[in-house]
Amino acid sequence: MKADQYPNLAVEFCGLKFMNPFMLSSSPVSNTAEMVGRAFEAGWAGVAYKTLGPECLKIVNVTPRLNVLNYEDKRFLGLQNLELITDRPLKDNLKDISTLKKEYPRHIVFSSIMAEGSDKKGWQDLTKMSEDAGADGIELNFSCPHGMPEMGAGAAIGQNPDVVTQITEWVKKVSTTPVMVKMTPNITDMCVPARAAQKGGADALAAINTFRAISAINLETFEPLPTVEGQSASGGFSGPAMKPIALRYIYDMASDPQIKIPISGMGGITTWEDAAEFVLVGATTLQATTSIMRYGNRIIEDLLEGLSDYLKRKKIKSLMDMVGKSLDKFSTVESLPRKPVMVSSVNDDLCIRCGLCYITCADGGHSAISMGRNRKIEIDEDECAGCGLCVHVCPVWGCITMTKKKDK
Amino acid sequence: MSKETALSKKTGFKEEIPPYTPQQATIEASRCLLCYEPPCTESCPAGIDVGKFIRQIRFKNYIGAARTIRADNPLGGICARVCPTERLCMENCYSAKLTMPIEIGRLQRFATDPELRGEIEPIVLSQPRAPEKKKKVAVIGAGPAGLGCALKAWQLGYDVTVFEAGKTPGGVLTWGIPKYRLPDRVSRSEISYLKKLGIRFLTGKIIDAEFNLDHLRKKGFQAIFIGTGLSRAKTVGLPGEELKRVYTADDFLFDAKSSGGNPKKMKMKPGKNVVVIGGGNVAMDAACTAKRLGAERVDLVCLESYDEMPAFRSDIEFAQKSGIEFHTRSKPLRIAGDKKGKVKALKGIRMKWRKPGLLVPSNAVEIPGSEFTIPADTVIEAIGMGPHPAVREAFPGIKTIGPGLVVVNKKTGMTNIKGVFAGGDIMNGGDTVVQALAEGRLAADGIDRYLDKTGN
Repeated sequence: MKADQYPNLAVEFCGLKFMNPFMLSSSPVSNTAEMVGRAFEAGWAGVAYKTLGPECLKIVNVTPRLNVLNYEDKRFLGLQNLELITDRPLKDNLKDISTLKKEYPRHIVFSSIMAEGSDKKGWQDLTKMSEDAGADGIELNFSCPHGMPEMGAGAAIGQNPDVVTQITEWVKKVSTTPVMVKMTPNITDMCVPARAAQKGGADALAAINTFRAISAINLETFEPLPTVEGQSASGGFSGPAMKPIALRYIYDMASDPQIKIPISGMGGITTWEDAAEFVLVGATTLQATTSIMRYGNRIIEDLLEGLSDYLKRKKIKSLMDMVGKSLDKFSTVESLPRKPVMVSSVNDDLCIRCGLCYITCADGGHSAISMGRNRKIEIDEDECAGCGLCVHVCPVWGCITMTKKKDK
Repeated sequence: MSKETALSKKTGFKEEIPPYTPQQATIEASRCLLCYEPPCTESCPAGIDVGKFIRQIRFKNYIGAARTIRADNPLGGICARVCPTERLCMENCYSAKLTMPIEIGRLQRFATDPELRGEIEPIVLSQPRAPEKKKKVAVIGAGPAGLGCALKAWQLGYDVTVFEAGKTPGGVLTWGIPKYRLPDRVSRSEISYLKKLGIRFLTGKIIDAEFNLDHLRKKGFQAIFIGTGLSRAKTVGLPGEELKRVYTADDFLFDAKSSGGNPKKMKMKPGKNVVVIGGGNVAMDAACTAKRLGAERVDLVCLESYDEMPAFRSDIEFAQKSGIEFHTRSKPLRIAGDKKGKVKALKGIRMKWRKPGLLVPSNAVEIPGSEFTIPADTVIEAIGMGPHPAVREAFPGIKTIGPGLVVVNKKTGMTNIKGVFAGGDIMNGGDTVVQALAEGRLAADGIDRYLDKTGN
């Protein structure tokens, strides 16, 4: 089996044994047993199945419902979607969950569920039906930012801590499996609803869901994208562009002294390096959608192999030992030390003479860089403010580095 | 008969390099580092701010990119296609140190094509013009140098008339450069913008002892620019040159271009086995054109080795791709004919240089016993062009060197005759289109300073 070929990546997450930390998140990529089955074959260890709603809820999606953020020639830096929860009949989905568990008993299936904030029965029924179908756990979708909030569900719940606690309690009352609460980033402080979920008995947190955003506007028609009959709506934004925000929210919760439950992290994970960062700020399992939508299930091979090799190189026996390893390396800007003073230093052997560092330091830095004869770069250590801008603008990897300022 | 005909006759004259789509241009422009004082800009003979127009494409300022190109080069679409960019703007591109140089010619074409397609108003039409000076400038020759001088002089406020010997303006652009490199519509469009501005073009006007300097002065032209280029084809002087189907490359290329690539309409139709003599760009053009006109086998014989050939690297590679057989370091000896006066073969011999680096026929030493025969029914000589003797007849006393190249002051473009300027191949002995254009523009500035100072 592909999912368990790297024993150092096995993790335990609220009592469940994962062959590796990677799950499909609740989204179009986890829409049917057939899709999820193929992902499991490819190496994914688990899934948060596409969110189920009460049977009475009629879901009809708009078309088109996706648009992307492009940057120069790079496409898909981020993905905006207007998709709703599953539009398949509840009984079909439950049957699919049951099929998945029969075919893949060692893979972990969370059933993602959603109902209205006041619909106690709806939440409890979906929980029971999911568990009866064989689900290993329940994910409470308190976080879908578009479509569902207007119906009193999704992010509308996640933004109200009291409702979060209430619903979590309802679900916990009837559930026999772990309950994970999926958080919305469309809020100032995620720790508030996270604490509320924990108070309600949640066994784990999942973060982040998508961020409500506008990805682009058609300049010919003035219509936002994706355009549906001349209009559009803001919708959930995901993908690589969201990674820094996701890492911050996960860090916030993982470092909160009151929050003790584990976190399933997501938000733009594409490479094993992204995955390692999420683990380092406190995630134990990892979820992905946008990278799969763009590149397909096959990316799991590079996530697994790359992360496993990284652990070996770092002499870390198990991924579990790495969870939260960076948390004590965060402080506040105020308390960060002011010494030693660092300055930029250019490796003349690597320099290709493009002069980008000169432009950027003059217009966006502190005018410490000059170009001498034959376009040789000179950095005036006294003028260099040590901001590091040139390091990031230089097109040659490793050509400009930060070094300690020499004492005079 | 070694190779099958590599190119279809029907498609062989289509523009060889396809245009970039907006996506391709974005990908290419995004590779650009956007260097400080970029080497591409510094090496453009026309002075185009190359780095700026690439940045403009990158930031989707497409019309701005066209404006930047047109500010220094009214023949921007032509140069985008015929410039030897690998030895000019691309040569020192710093991107090459990371991956490979930026394809600047294709980006320039992307920026200028919308004008040619009529999607945007020709930029030349909205460029500023100095107040009219009520002074007349004559430009002799409507090739790249003449066109460059004419527009600049017009923009400086002069009343400009261009005299062209041929039926249509364009010079080498019209008669010399094959369609697969430069489609007619490109040069036609760019020249038409100048006509629209109000620059007069008089075609079929050949300078000679009568239509001369005095005549022009009497007509009120206070400054004259000579941009006649090189129009007299040199011949090798081989025994057998009098045979049928022995052509000079310029005649052959002109015939091919004016026939629209249809061999049936040509007077100098190539046969099945063509030998081209020469190692320059015109030789490559002649060989590739013969191939496209249906020649089954085209052999190219030249004194130089691959590395020594004066042709642009890209042109040599293109000729190789077209299936041309190269015989380098080879000297033609004679053209053999049959009793009917038809070409039968080219006889030649392998050679080496007596003194290394001196690439002239007199320095060639034949290697005994290395004689060879190439069966042929057509021989095309492409060993260079010389100035037309009429230049000296029409401008008595003009200072020339060598075969009759006009000497000018490098800063002003003025000849030894006051008020007479020159530029392009007639002055530099044969260089690029962009170099000729730049010299024409420089001479226009020289004319402006001259007429301003003389108060004429």
